[in-house]
Amino acid sequence: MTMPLDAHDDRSDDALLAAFARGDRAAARALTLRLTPRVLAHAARLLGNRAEAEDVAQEALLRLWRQAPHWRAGEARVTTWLYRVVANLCIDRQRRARGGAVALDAVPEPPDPAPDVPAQMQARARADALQAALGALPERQRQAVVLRHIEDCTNPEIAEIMDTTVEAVESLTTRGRRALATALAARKEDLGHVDD
Amino acid sequence: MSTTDEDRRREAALDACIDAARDSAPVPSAALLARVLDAAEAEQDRIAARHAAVPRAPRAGLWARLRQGLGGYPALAGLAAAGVAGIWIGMALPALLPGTLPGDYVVDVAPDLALDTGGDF
Repeated sequence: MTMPLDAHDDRSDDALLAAFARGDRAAARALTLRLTPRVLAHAARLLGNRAEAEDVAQEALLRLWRQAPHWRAGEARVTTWLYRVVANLCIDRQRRARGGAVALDAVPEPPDPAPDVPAQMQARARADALQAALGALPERQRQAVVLRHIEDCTNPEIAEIMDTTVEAVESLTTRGRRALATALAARKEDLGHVDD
Repeated sequence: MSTTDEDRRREAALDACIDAARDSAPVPSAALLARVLDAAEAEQDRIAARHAAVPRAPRAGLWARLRQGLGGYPALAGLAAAGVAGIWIGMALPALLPGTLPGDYVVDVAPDLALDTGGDF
């Protein structure tokens, strides 16, 4: 099966979803290309596991397709709805998987950086360290931090996704950031953050 | 080093890790995209099939819909009778209209109404 990777479409998510429900194949392609990367990335951040994140992304988008005929434009943003579905699917998986979040100690240490290590390796190490630290956060702190600092959602959007108040979101992100900073500070030598 | 300096360094280190994480977002494989699109198109087919499966009553003809809209055959008969009577009155009685006979007059049954004061009679 081939899919044109340049299936760009300027229509809004709402408009594409309405067209999708009318059987528009181009809308199906455009939504697939637009939303799959975001959904996959979000699931990967919450789960720390690529294979499971793919399963979650596929399931979340299937639910969106089924919702399309009933979608009421303007009531909620498609991405907000999807982030909420992804979070619920991730939480279900983690609760089923006994033990939930991956402990920081269980994640392999990044390779020792030599002074001449390529920048990509350092970036990889930092990204892996952040993922490991995220995995050690409580579920809701992790979700709030990922939505705020990686997906760039606003606090009101996060509050809607997490079904809570803006104040609660601020508290979750503040505590989450502090915990992440503490976890990463312990590995500053590995990650190339040297004191001036 | 002061606590503030240490906090600032920690924040900077965290921001560097967040930037690295953003830049290394997983890219969906072609296989995943294909699975998602297959599911999307299958769902579109299901939606179309559901619409097609909804039984629809045969559409009545124009005459039948007009008849029903007017209230059926009894209403049509009354309408036809009224139409014929109107034509007969129009053709046979114009000579009896007020003002056409010598000495005719108009009885105003509601002289206080403004309507009557500005009339053409």
